Parts: sequence; C-alpha cells; structure tokens
Amino acid sequence: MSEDMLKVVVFGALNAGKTTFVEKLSGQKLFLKGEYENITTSFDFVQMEQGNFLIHLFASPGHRRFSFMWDTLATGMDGAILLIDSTVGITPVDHELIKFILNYDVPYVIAVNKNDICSLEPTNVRKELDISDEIPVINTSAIINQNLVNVLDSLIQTIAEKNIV
Amino acid sequence: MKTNTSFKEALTSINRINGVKDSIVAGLDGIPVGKIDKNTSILSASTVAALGAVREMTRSINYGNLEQLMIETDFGKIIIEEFGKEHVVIVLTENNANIGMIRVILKKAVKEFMVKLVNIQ
Repeated sequence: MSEDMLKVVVFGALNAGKTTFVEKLSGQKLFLKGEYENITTSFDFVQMEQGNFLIHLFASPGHRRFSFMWDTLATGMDGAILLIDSTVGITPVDHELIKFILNYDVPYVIAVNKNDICSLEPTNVRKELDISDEIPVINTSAIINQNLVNVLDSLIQTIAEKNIV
Repeated sequence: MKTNTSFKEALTSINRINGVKDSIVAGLDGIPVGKIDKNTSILSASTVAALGAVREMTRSINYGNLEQLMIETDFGKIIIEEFGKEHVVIVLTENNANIGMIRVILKKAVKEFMVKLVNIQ
C-alpha cells in the first residue's frame, strides 16, 4: 500500500453485473466503459475515494474470449472482488477465477450479486468454492446498490490488515 | 510498482521536440507515475490495456516481441513504449510531428529512464 492509493479489480463470469457494480459503487459515470452491445470486451475503469484511499477501480471482461485481459488488469492490484451471479449459481468460470486471484496472493472478497432476484447462502458459496471462513462473502445487488460499499470497505479492511502483519 | 521516482527530466526532453503535445509515464498497473488526474488516469489505464491486448495478439500469431505501439488518429499520433519490467512511456504528438526524430529521442529517453530505475533499485 503506498501513496494512499489502491488498485481494485472486479472479476466475475459473463453477465454477473460487474459494470453495474462499479457504476453503482462509484456513483458516477465511468471514466472508461469498454463494451460492445452490453458485453465488456476490454474493461471498465473509474476512480473513487473511500476510507481515505483513492481507489482505482477496474472491472474485467467476463466473456471467456476476452480472458487474456485478466492478467493485464490484475498487474499491480492490491485487492480483488469476485462477483457471483446468484441467478446462475457457481460456474466453472468462478472456480477458475478463484484460482486466478489466489495466484496473485492479494486479499479478496466475494460478492454474491443479484440478491434482489435470488439469494444464495454465503455458507453454501463458501462450501462450493472451498474457501476459508476468513474470506468475506457478502450478498449484494448492484442494481439497487445493496451492500456494495460494505464489499469495498471489507476489502479495504482486509488489505489494511494484510499490510500490518 | 507505484514508484515516486520523478522522470521529469527525461519527459522534458521529449516534450521539447517539435510536434510533441505531451508525454507521461505510467506503471504497468495502469496507474500514472507523478501527476494523477482524470486524463492521465484514463490514458494510463487504457494504454496498459491496449499494450496487453496487442502483446497477446503478437504472441498468439508468433510475431515477435512487442517493441513499440503507435496509434494514429485524425488529431495526431500516440506512441507507446515499455521500459523496464514495470513502466511505459506515452507520447502524444501532433499530426505533422517528425515521428522519426521523436522515435530516436524516445529511445534515448527510455535509456535515461532505465538508468533512473537502476539507481533507485
């Protein structure tokens, strides 16, 4: 952690709601919105201030075809948010993304999105993804801005704790 | 990655070239080194993403290592060159800029950047 800046990247499968997540969380028009016909083909980017940090917030493409962008976006990230689409459940892409994030050895939080339509129990998500109790799993709805700030605050706290240790 | 190192002198020599509008240094994390505002942040993030995409393209068709990326618009050209393992320099030029001259001075500036990097490591 340096210069009070954090790079945070939102990952997730296709149509999990990553673009809406960063739009609603930042509360502003995105600086960059790399989409074609509502599918993110490059990445989304915006800056926001939260908890005395300037957050550089990126959202990755979800389509497997554009997964080569994941490494580029992950370079230098301080933390990650994995968005799961609760209307679909845990997919092979989610398993792949967990492994991907673990390779970068950064703190991460899981947001189980679309909670306004369908709810997945965090305990079941934890079990299915085989992740420890230390990883926060939070039900969210990007579209109605439910728990989005909690996800970011939780990630910031985890990053801060990691840097103290 | 988010080094405080100032590359000001080398950037000044690039900015003095006729036809150069501006130049900035960014980390490969997509975050500008030095002044951070909306424009430099957008330029840094999109440049690094473009580099990543083009590098993937050259790699997947076995077409060598990416050395420099040049983007042409009706406003001018954007020249992008990586240096070291963590940085990139981005030069914005006017349409009528002497690209040959800019590329020569850019190569020299990249060497200066490398020296600065070695000195802080």
